[in-house]
Parts: sequence; structure tokens; C-alpha cells
Amino acid sequence: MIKHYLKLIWNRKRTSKWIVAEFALSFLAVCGAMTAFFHFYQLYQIPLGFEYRDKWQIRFQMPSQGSEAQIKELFRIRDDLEGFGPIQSVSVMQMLPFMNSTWSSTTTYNGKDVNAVHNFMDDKAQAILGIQLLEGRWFGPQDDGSDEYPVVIDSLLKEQLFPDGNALGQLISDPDDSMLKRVVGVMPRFRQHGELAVCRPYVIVRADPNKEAPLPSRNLVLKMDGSQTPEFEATLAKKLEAMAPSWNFNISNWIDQRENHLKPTLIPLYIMGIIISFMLLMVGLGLLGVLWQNVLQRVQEIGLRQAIGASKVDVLKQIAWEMVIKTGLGIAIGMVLALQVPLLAPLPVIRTVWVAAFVGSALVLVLLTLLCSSYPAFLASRIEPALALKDE
Amino acid sequence: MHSFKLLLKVLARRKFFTLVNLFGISFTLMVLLVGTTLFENFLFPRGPEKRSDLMLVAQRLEMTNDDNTTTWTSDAGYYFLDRFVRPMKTPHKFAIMGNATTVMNYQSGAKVELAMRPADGNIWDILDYQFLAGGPFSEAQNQAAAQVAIVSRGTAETVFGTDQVLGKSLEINGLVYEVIGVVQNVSRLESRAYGEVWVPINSLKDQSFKDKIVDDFLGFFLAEKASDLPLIKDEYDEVIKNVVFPDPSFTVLRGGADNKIEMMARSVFGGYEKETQAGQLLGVILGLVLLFMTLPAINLMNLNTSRIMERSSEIGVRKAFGATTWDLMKQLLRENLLLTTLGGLVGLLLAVLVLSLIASSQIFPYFEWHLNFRVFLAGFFLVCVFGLYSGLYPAFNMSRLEVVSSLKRRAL
Repeated sequence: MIKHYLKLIWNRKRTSKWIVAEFALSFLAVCGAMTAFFHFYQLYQIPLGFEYRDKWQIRFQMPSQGSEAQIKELFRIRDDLEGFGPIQSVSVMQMLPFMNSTWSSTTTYNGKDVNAVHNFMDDKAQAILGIQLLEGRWFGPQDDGSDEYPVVIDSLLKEQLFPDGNALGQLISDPDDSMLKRVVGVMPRFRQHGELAVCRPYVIVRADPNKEAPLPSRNLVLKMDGSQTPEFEATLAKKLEAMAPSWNFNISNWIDQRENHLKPTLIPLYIMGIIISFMLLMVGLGLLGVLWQNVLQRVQEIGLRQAIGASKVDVLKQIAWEMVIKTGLGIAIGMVLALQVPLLAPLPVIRTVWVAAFVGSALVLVLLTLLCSSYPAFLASRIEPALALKDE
Repeated sequence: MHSFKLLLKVLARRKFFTLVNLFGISFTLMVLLVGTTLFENFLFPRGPEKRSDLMLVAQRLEMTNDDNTTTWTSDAGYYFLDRFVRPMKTPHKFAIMGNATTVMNYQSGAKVELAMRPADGNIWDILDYQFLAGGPFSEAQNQAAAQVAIVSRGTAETVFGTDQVLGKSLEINGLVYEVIGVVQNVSRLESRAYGEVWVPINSLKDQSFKDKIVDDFLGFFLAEKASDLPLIKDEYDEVIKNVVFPDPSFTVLRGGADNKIEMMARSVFGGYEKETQAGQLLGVILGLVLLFMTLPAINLMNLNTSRIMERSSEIGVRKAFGATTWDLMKQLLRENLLLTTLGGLVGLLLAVLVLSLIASSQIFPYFEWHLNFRVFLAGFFLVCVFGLYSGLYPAFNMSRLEVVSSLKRRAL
């Protein structure tokens, strides 16, 4: 049966080939959009690893190389702010989430190198950020005075550095052995760049006022009790100006930070979605027109088929099948072209996302075809054999 | 005129097809026109970056050591720009301005975030900020670390609720600045000039930036004439190669002075060489535009081709009376071009609508769009390309119909 339809399509190859081409192109466009959509959807499903509500941040701009006195000063401000107004507790953090800077460095264990994002946090950060540990413990006073840097690593780094062993208590380092780091805990993924960023291996090093750090911490995270008002910011700014008169600083809350950070990813996605839907609408309407014309041209043929005993369902089936085959051909060509992308360019997209995007866009196109061919097929099935054949 | 009437007749006969065609054409052209307008406004600014064609900016730098194990990439530092770049001979004018940093102001009772740019006193000779009141600060005032500020009209209105703000005090980061000038708002698309408050570099509380090779500053060059631009690039390249590092752990510095399109190419393709891949960037953009036009073009082509049969008797009659293939192709192409032009007009209206939406949505703060002659020209060009692109094949097909068979077939 399909062979017969293929023959019919082949006989009309002059018009058919452009419909197939249109489907191949539409497939490419829809598949691209769906890949992006599924990619970000999948990332959005992974927990953030920390709690961002009711958090404020203070970024200090202080003289370039952080001297020891500066770090001590930062810790002093941290302690002084605790309990001020709606502030519940305060913690020191080197790299803030939802910002565009990353500090990454190579981490070595047993000859294996993994590039991991690094951050410095103090002893209170776990409670403030709501980090749930999988194993081990967070930093504490028991880490004082050690030459090593205690670190908490995330499960991704654990999988890559210690595929079959226990991470707790192991010493990890960097290629030139300048910083020896002792793993004291393992946490789930920590997503510094928000829900739409790809997960990267993560290391949190203890921020210690008595110890030198390659990059000094300059930020505070404030956990608020929920009663804070935007006006409190001005009060806080006044207090900070009195506490640290020589530093510039910047206060913002994490809900705004997160929103602003997601925007540059979300806005292009929305625009792409709108453009692709309009394109699909255009393709669908065009298809409807082509099929309509097609039925009008084939009145005699269809009339003849009905005259020799084809039922209305047979006619409907013929129109739908011919269309589905053309769609299938177009999708197949589009798929071959689209497959080149994951094969040739290493995009940070996992395989399930590709498969979902391929299947999803094929489904969308087949549905579109069926929807658009239903009216012309209905027209065709209404053709009266006697009327259609009277001119022959 | 005759063929125009004929076209309207042809279009009116099949309303559904005409509507579908117009929808496809106008939507495609709308997207392209919006894109062109944004690109045009970026490339040929009308605000402070008016003289972009004579301007180069030194921004991205890469600092490494001999064996490339440590790299630091960032924008230019004040020390590098002031000590090594400022003495350059080929530029007509040179100025330093820092990147925008967000500062907070609570004077109006609510929190206002402002994009602040520290600048030296020469920036006003290169960027044409339009002063509504007062005037700029001079280089002497910058040297004296005067606590003076220039604000944009938008800033004046949000912070003080009025645009009569000369002499008022503006509090930023615990410092009090006296407002001495108000400038017209700067569109976010003019990213090099964008800002809401400008203060002298030397008035900043923290002056630790003064010993840095890479940091957060931009160097602006203005050439006397366009032919000087390559000379400036050459001299800048020399300067970069001969930098003496205060921190001896770094030995190599790389970067280039760019115009706007080169800046875009650098941010897309990366790279810290003197030359950028601007040509490639334009090629990629053109390729994407063509690809984006292909789908609607094929759609239009399909509709046109499927209508061959309907119009076969008309074509047969014309052929029988001696019309050549070329005559028929001309007629069909003309029809297609007229249809695309109609679609283009609708697309233009839609583009105006979408651009006003973008402007009012604050995606690009202070964005003001202009549909000027250049955009019209680009739009017209796109319409013609689209019309020919989608019309050639069906026209060729239609004109090839056999007289006898086309007369025999009847349209319903």
C-alpha cells in the first residue's frame, strides 16, 4: 500500500520535492528550538543546592590585594551585623551566586585532573544557605590551625575524582601543589550560576580569617527573618558607611539577582519560541493551501476511485497517507542534517535531550500535517463521482 | 498600472492564498526589519557614539606568562592606558572611561540603582553627550579630584523628581557629588557610552585601580580622519608588545583596538589578536538571514507552484497568442514582487509595532529606535531578494507549460 502511495508522490515529484524540503527545514527549526527548550527544562529540574529566598548580599569593593587586616575587618563586620534589624545571621562568601564571575581551578587526586569551580565560605554558610550534606560535616572550629584547607566537594566532583572510593578524609590538590585540600564533606550539586546553567564540579573551601587565600573574600550573605522591607536597605547602607568608611559596597537581594541572571537566557528563548510558533502556523497554512489546491486538481482521479468502489474512508486515508509519507521523508532528511550537530559539535547537551527533541519535533510535524490535511481530505471525500466524471 | 490591476484581480480571486502568502511574507520581513533596525542602531548610533566611524576602543586584554600556564583576561587597566597608551602619537584625541558599575542611591526615599561611569576630562571631546543643562567636568577638575557629577535626564527625574538639578547634591557610596551637568539619556545599545552618572576617575574613594594593567577600563581613540585608523591600530599593537609589567610574573600582553563591528566579532569569536574576525561575523549573519528566509520562501514557492494548474488555461491562452517564456516569467515575477512588496508594507507596520513594544518594555533602557533611510533601503532590498528568491522557480515552471496540455486542462 505504502509503495503505491510512494509511486503517486513520485509521479508528482515536481511539487512533492518542495513540500519535502519545507518539512526538512521545519524539522531543523523545530528541533533546534526543542533542543534548547528541553535542555533548559532538564537543567531547571536539578535542585539549586541552596536556598535563595530571604537572602541579601553585600559586595564590597576594597583595595586590590586583600591584606590580612582587610579580611579580619570583613569578619568583624560580619559579626557586628548579626541581629541588626531583620538580619538573622551573616556569612562570608567569596563568589556570590547569580553573578557572571567564576573562579575555577584544576583539582588533582591520584594523578587525575578535574577542572572544578571553587568558592570560599565560612563556618556559618551551611546553615545560612541551607546546604544539605550527603556525607561528612561542614567546617568548624576544629579546622583551626591546620595547614591544610578543609573543603566540601559536590557529588559531581566526587564521581569524577573518586569513582569507586570514599572521598571523605582524602587530600586533593592542584597541579603545582600550592594548596592542599582535605575533603571533610560531600554535598549535592551546588549551582552557583542558577537553575539554567550547566552543572560543574564544585569545591567549597573554608574561609578562614587567619589563613591566606589566593583570592580574598569580599562579600557577605545576610539571612533575613522575612520581615525585611526595601527601606531597611537605606538603614543598612548608613550603618555600613559608618562601619567601613573606606570601602565601596553594593547591597542587593537574591530574588532580584536570580531574576536578572536568568533573564539573558530566558528572553532569547521566549523570542525563539514566538518566532518558531509563527513559522509553524505559516507552514501549516501554506500546507493547507497546497493540499486544497491538490484536491481540486485531482477531482477526476478521486471521483473515478469512488466510482469503482472506494469508500469515503479510503479517500480520506489516501490523502492523509500521502501527506504523512511526505512529512516522514522531510523529517528523515531533516534528522540526517540535524544529527550532524551532536556528532560534529560538542554542545553541552545530554543525549536524552537530543532524543526528546528529535522525537518531539517529529511528533509536532506529523500532528501539524494531520491537522492541515484533514480539511482538504474532508473536501475530497465529499466529491460526488457523477459530478466529477461528467466532463470526461 | 495594468499589471498592477491584473495582480489585484489575481489576488482577490483566491483570498485564502493571498492571506496565507501575505502572512508569511509580512511576518518574515517583520522579524528581519526588527533585527535590521536593532543592528543599524547599534552600528550607526545617533547618540554620544555619533562619531563611531572615527572611533576605536581598546578594551579586552589577555595577560599571560611565558609558558602560558596562567592567563588573566579582562578589560584594560588604568595603569596600562594612562602610562603606555595615552602617549600614543597617531590618535587625534584619547580618553579613559571605566565600565559601568551599579551604585545605589536612596535620596528619593526609594532605592535607585544607577550605572556609574568614572571618566577623565577628555571623554567629552570624543563622545558627543548632549548637554541639556550645565556642562562637563574638565581634565583639571579630574586631576583635582573634584566631587562633581554629570547625570542623565532619567537619573535626574528618578532621584530628584525634576530636571532642574544643577548644584544639587547626589549621594553615591557615601560620597557627596555636586551635579554640574545634565545630559540626554543614552540608549543601552550604545554600550560604550552608556551610563546614568559620570564622575571624575580621581574622585573615586578607592584609588587602587591606578597600578593595574588589566582591570575594568576602556581607552577611547578618536582619529582625525578615517585613513588614520589603521595607523592607530598599528601603533597600539606596538604599545601592547612593549608594555613593561609592574608584576614580573606576567610577560605577554595581547589585545586590539576595535570599531563597533570588530568589538562584536571579538565578543562572539573571542581572540586577543590585533585583527578580528569581523568579515566572518558578517558572513555568518548573512547566512543566518538567508536560512531564516528559506522556509517562508519555500512555503510561498509551494503555494505558487500548486497554483500553476489553476492558472494553466490563462498561461496557455497567452502562449498560444505568442507570448514567449521570458514574457511569462516577467509577468509572474512581477506579480510575485508586487505581492512581496504588499507583504513588506504590512511587515513594516508590524515592525514599527514590535519596536515600540521593545522600546516601552525597557529590555534596552532608554532605547529609542529610528526607521531611517538605511533601514528602508535594507527593507526594500530584503523584499526584492525575497520576491525573486521565492518567485523564480515557480515562474520558470509555469512558463514551461505545454500550450496544448494547459489549454486542455480546466480549472475548477
